[in-house]
This record gives sequence, structure tokens and C-alpha cells, in this order.
Amino acid sequence: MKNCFKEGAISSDFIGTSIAHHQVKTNIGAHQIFLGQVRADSIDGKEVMAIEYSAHEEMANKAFHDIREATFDKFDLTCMHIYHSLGVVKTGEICLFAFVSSKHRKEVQRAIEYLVEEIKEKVPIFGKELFEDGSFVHKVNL
Amino acid sequence: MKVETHYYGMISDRLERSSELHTFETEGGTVNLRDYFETRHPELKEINYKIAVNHEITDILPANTEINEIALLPPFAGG
Repeated sequence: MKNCFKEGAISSDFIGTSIAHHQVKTNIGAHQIFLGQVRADSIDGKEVMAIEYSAHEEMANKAFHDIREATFDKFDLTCMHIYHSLGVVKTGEICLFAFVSSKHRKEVQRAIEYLVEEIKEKVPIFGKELFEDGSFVHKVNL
Repeated sequence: MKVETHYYGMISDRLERSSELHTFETEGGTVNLRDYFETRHPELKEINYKIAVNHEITDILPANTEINEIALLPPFAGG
């Protein structure tokens, strides 16, 4: 089972390199990328400084695998990559990198929406929103 | 049968532990895990959570089944 987790934030270098690796795949005509970024929400007058992510890693990687298979079944894609952070990711940093490629734009536009919604709903990842004073609240996807 | 139970996210914080061993007898029939855990940890009644048995989401521990792991999963927050 592929490990979709990376410790800490997903860097712009990593994302750029991943895009560059697709230059040899000349049957691709369209990429679509979703980047989840940690937002500095204000909660009860305190600003979120970071999110600390944890997960049931084995179940989560299985869920990523199943979502990946389902997305390939539903859409005509050439390739797909998913990475999610574990540990502390500061506000403004990237915590989710989802990347789909196909011959045509409409496939990837539909696929990325499906993929991200499935990840948010079905992957057992948990998050603590951390404040500067050391307190925290648990994040819940709406 | 002793089964390692893992607690995640807000459940781990609320119960102040990340895992514990529980003993189940399933030879006589199924066990309702939600009732079982909420009897032992009443604070769980205030939390929205899912139960996974051997990585499958269910509230029921089947009869005569080998159980490797139970996990209590609070609401997901990925992305």
C-alpha cells in the first residue's frame, strides 16, 4: 500500500518537481491540482497558528488507495498523485496536494472535485488547530 | 479475547490515553461496541465518532470472530 503521508508541510519544491516529472508523459493534455492550505481562522478571538495532523495511518492509506481506484474507474485519467501532511503545518503552508492528469481538461476538472470531496469525507485524518498561547481546538470537516 | 483499542484525535485527548486493552467474549453472540464503550467512558456520548473493527467501520463486534484491532475515530479533518 502506497504511503500518502509526508511529515510536515508539503513544499512548493516538491509540488514543482512533481509537475516537472510529467513533461515526459506527452499523451497528457491537462493537469488539475488541488492544494489545501492551513488557514489562519479566528476562533473565539484567537488566531490559528498551525494545524497538527494525525491519522489512523493504515486505514487512511487504504482509504486513499480505494478513493484512487474509484476515481480512476469514474474518470478517464492518465495519472493521479495524492499527498497529505502529518504533524504540524503552519498557517499559509500546504497540507494536501492532489494532482490528476488526463488528455482533456473536463475529465481532470470533474475528477479533482470528486477526489477532494472523497478525501475530506472518507480518510481518517484528524487535526488540532493550535493557538499561540498553547491552547487548541479540534478541527472538523464541514 | 483481549483486544487493543486505539483512540484518536479528540477522543484520545478526552480519555487521556491513546490505547487500552479490552476483553470481549463473542462466543455467546455479538457485542454492541458503542454501548460497551459508552458504559465505560460516558464522555464518549458527547462526541460524534465511528468505530472500526479490523479497519472496517461498524458498531457491532461479530460473534466468533478473531479481532486484531478496534479503533475509535472522531470526525475527520483532512484536507
